Amino acid sequence: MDAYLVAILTTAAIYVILALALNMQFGLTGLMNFGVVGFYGLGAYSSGIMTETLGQPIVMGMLAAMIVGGTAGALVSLLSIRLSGDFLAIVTLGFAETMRLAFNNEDWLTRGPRGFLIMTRPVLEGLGRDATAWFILGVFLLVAAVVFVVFNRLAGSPFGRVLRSIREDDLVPATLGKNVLAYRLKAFVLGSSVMALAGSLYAHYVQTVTPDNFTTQVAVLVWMSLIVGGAGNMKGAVLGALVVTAIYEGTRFLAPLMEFLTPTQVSALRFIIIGTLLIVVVRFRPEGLLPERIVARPAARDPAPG
Amino acid sequence: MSVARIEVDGLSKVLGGVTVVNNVSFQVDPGQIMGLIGPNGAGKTTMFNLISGVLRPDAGKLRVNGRDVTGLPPYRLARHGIVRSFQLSRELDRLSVLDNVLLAAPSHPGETLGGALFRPFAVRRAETELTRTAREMLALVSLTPHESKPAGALSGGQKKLLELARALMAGADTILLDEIAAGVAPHLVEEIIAIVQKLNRDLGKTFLIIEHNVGFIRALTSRVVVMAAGELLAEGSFDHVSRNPAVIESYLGQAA
Amino acid sequence: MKLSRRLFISSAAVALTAPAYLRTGLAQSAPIVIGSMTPLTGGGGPYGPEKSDAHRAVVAEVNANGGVMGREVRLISEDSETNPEAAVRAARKLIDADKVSAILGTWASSVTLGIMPLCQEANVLQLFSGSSDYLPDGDSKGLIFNLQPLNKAWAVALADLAVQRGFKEVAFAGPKNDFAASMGESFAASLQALGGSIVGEPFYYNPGQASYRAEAEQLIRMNPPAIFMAGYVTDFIPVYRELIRGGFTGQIITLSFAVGPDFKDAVGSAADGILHGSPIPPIGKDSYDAYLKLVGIEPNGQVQNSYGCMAYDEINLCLLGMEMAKSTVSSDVAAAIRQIANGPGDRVTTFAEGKALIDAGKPMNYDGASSSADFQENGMLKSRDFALYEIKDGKDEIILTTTSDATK
Repeated sequence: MDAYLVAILTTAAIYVILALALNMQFGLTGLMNFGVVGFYGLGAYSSGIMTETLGQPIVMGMLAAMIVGGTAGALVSLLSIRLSGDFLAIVTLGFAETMRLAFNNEDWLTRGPRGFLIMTRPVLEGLGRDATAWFILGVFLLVAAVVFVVFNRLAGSPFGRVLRSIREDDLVPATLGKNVLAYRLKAFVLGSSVMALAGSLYAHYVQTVTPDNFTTQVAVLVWMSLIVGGAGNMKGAVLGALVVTAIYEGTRFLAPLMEFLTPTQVSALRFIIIGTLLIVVVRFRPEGLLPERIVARPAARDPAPG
Repeated sequence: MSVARIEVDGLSKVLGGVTVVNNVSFQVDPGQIMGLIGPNGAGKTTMFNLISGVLRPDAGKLRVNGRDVTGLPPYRLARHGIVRSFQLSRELDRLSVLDNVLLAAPSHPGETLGGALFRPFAVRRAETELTRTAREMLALVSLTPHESKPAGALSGGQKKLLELARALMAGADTILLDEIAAGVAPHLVEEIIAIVQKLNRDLGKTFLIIEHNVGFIRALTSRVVVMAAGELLAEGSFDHVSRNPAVIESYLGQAA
Repeated sequence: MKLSRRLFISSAAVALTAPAYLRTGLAQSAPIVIGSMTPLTGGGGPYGPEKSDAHRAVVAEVNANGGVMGREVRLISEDSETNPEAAVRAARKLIDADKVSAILGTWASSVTLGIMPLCQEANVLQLFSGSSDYLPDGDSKGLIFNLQPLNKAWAVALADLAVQRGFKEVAFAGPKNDFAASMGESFAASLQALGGSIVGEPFYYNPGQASYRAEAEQLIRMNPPAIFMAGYVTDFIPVYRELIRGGFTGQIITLSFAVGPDFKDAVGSAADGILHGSPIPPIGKDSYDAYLKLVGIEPNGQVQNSYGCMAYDEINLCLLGMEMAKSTVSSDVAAAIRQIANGPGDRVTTFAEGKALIDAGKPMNYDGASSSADFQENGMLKSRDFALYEIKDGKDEIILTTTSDATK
């Protein structure tokens, strides 16, 4: 059971990182990014290509992922930056779909539907099976912690204040001298490069990547994590990802309790539970489990987190 | 002769096929408190939008401190020393009242990505000082007890005061106030008049004020321009223009 | 996190104390745990339940008659969601939490390949049905067994058919997925070996589109005498319609699962003339009928539950392998499975028959419900029966059956 919990926590760490990134884009800045899996997948394949095809060490892979993800994010937001928020939603949807098709069809680069086998792992050689799993978990938790600290600091800083003001009203910050377009771009790129980083970690963990790994379902789980946990609050994003992962994986263990149901029915029931959770949260606590903190603490110490 | 703070030179704007501002020219001199009055629909707020860069003029030129700033976006105009309030007050609802004011601080080191990440001490220092200043602004408009509330929780009149505090915090030379007294309790209107006069007298701030409240205009402004149906109808002291028959007629279509 | 931890612990505790296995009166030694991962949702959703049912039916019967090595067999079912991402997480639970010795039943090749690195690392046996030619590449320990012929074998059979009917120039079209990709390569190679050739390049289209007019037009422009289409029914129907509408008069050759009753209903008489083929369970064979009856289906002389019968063989081979090896260590079991499946020995078709021979110390040759279940070194089938049909008056008329030899 230990090994399974380690595996679940490792997956949860990836979703935590994705949720933090989406929080930077949507929770703080109000940017609707429905193309999460596009950047995630881009990071996975970039990292894989860097380490497998070009033979570089894994750190180079992670760096490549972030650069590619950040650049893609810049291009995507520049495309729609002068349009209203709804257009960004559509553009990002289109981007994710385009990426999926590209992954599938450009098989000279990505091995397409066959699957891209990745042998490079974020771990020291020679450890036993259990130790390897713990080591990888440690690496992922470290990355998640770093992302959390950085993003949380940004959220509580004056920079974060400007982002939130842009979320509320894009005219007021402009008339107060803030370059709204530049801030939006920065927030989006910060988010997209971190999503790509998550993709890189994912790729080196599961070791086989196919275009099928990057489906809407992943994006839905990330959005759910944010909504359940509390958009606008970095701690909320972390909590939301953990809760959603726990429910998704925990419901597997319901099967032995329900011998009277067929496996097909149990499987359907799991999805019903997950969907119901989302409905309940949106209905009764739309701001999430950890809502955004509005009050600024007196600036005797650091600017307020949240 | 010092350079005008704002020079509007033949500005025109067409919106939805209607000429909302038609070849209007006037200027606001440094240290002046100028009124912009006229019946509803005259194009006053559109003029504000043109001056603050929210709208781009279709014709004409805009100069600030002698520099041609026609067509610049709002954030660039703001850096030329212009700040405005909004007629339908636009609050950043989910930010605290204090944060709303702090946002207006110009050149805060913590607002850049690099500053926020790599210069914690400078940022903290700036934040402390600016918070002190922001609190002074809030005190000026009697909003101190509401400092920690989300701005969305304020009443309509209070939101107007917040607009003023924010405009003051921005430290701009030229302040555009769009119906700042509307919906504000009378004793606070008196306070606003006092604040504006103080800033004008002691700090030399220039004001361009859109207002329907006659007492407000008469008490504050040395000069007004009158707009009606997108055109400049008259210019001069308030007493002077209020006797102008064309001005009176343009208002006759309105309730007083 | 307190909440989720409590959930884990309490659920695990309840699962462990579930009294189900106590009731069967078997020995109190630890049960043999086997994972059944089938597509219960997603693209393979129509085919998962019959596999899962086959697994459960056999396990119930085996447990009622003394289990394996006198121990109860506990089957844990998971949904692969026909998606490798979800399947990997389910596999981790099966391997690390449930500690299964084998994972049976995966259907989509991307899923099978997706969980293969985990299974290989944990020395977990995999028995499955899949056709991607890339499947053997993921195994380096001899722990996989595939009950379905690879695309290479299908392609050989169909290329043979095409040439026999006088078509040496055939275009190839299929959706851009794992299955069609390897099918295209193999078909081209087989055709060439018979002296024919592919017209132009294999043409791949993106599955799941709203309209295929552009694709159909491109195919028509190539003007081939015949097209071999390797699609699933969801994309085959619209593409075929566009081809007919566009005036294509050449021969269409395809795979049987693309032209089932849904297709015939959708296009009516326009279906006539299509040639198609697929691997078939040996209709009328005693083991096949026995499987059907076990899961409560009356044999009717047509192809039924083509995936369920493979699942039946998966679980039988796995359990017999464990019984013969007297162990759940995967390498031992794999070696035993090879002996059981390939023989030589007396013919057996069920677990009970095989167990009797094991107890008597005699060798056996398992003859399955889906095929004779003889494996090559790499765990792929040596051969499989194929049937080739032509649609006439809305019905499939069998033209010939052939046994495709995958070792060629």
